[in-house]
Amino acid sequence: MNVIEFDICGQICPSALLTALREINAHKDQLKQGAIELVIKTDARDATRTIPAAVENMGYQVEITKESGCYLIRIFTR
Amino acid sequence: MMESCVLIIITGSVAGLVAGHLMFRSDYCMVGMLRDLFMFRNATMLRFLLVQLGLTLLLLELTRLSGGLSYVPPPLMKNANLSSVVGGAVFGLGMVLTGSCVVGCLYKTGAGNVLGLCAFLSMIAGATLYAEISGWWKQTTAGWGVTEQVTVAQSLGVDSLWVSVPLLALWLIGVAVWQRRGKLVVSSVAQGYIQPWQTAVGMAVITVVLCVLTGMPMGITTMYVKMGAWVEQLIIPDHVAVTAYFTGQGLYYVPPFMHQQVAGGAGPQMDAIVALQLSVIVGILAGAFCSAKRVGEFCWTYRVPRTQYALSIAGGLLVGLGARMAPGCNVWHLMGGLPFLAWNSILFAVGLVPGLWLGSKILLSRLA
Repeated sequence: MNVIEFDICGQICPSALLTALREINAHKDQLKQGAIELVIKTDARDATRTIPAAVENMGYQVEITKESGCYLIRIFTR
Repeated sequence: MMESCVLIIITGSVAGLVAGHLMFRSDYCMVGMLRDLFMFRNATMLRFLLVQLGLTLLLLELTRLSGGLSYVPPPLMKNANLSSVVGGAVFGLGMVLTGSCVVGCLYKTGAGNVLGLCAFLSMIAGATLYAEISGWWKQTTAGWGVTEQVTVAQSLGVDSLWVSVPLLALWLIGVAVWQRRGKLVVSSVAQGYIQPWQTAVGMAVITVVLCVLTGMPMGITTMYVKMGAWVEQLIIPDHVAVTAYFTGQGLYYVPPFMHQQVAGGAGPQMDAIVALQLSVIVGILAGAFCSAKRVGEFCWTYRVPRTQYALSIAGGLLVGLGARMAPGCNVWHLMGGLPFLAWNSILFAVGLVPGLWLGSKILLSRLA
């Protein structure tokens, strides 16, 4: 599976959320087929709440880990 | 002057430290609370602002009844004027564009966010710019007065309990419903996350403590003008000396637990505004910095799209300008003035609505 990573560190909401939604929509066919997963790297604490809430409503799975002071939000389809 | 303000400086610094820590850990962003309602039809975080305001009203009434408040309403809360609506609209538009309010930019800057720093500096510039138009603005709005009274209770000629008790009853019902439906708990995996309801309680307590010990709620943006005046004083001191807004002093009062009157204004002099507001500003920056360091999240990141820098600067200028046109910012009016049921704060809140709506439309068109 291909992993596409977006680094949006430094951005605050709503741009962090809007950027995530834009990239999900741009890759929605591959995401739904399970061909790719998106990883969004962010340092916006609020994004760890807003992005999962929006993405799960769209039917995707989300996992969040923390690495070097940033949060990695992994978006995929099982 | 400054020696006699030690209690005010200590109170402001501690309040700022605690507020900076709480706001960073909860990402307690007042812009997000208000903007998300217009942009995403989402009131998740706005709920906590309502929890905070209701609790502040309750605690202020209890403190007033026990004789703990020296000033009701506090100094600097003025007679109602429609300038608050216009200032609120400019402020609302600016804060959506910049993504931070006057304290949001502080806790974000303290945690290393460069957009927060841009917003902070732009707000200082915008607030300082107001000094150049203050004469014209005061002349224009001189006839815009709505009532000579400061608060709703004063206008009705009744004790504030007659207004606050019905409001508190509604607030209690709302909180009980949210509690029963599980709406007061937010799911977040952020390290060291503090639930927003806890921060709402903390901010309400901070407001009341400030009112008891300093005589007034949290204020920020007069100090932003003063910071701008400090810079101007270095570059164009002659201009500062003849600018009416810098030479005037709008604050004269005897702080609680003191016998000596203090004064303050927007000019470059060291006065009571420094004691009241700079202490809080430095406290919030330091509180957020320590809090971010503790969870390993302090980091300066400059690689942000240019559009966001432009929006942050343009919005920050409008926030600074709007805060002086009102006069007063979201912290002063929403967190402090609304619980006192001050007319100008209600007018400011009304003015915020079109500003927030327009800002949300612009932001969606630029970022989506």
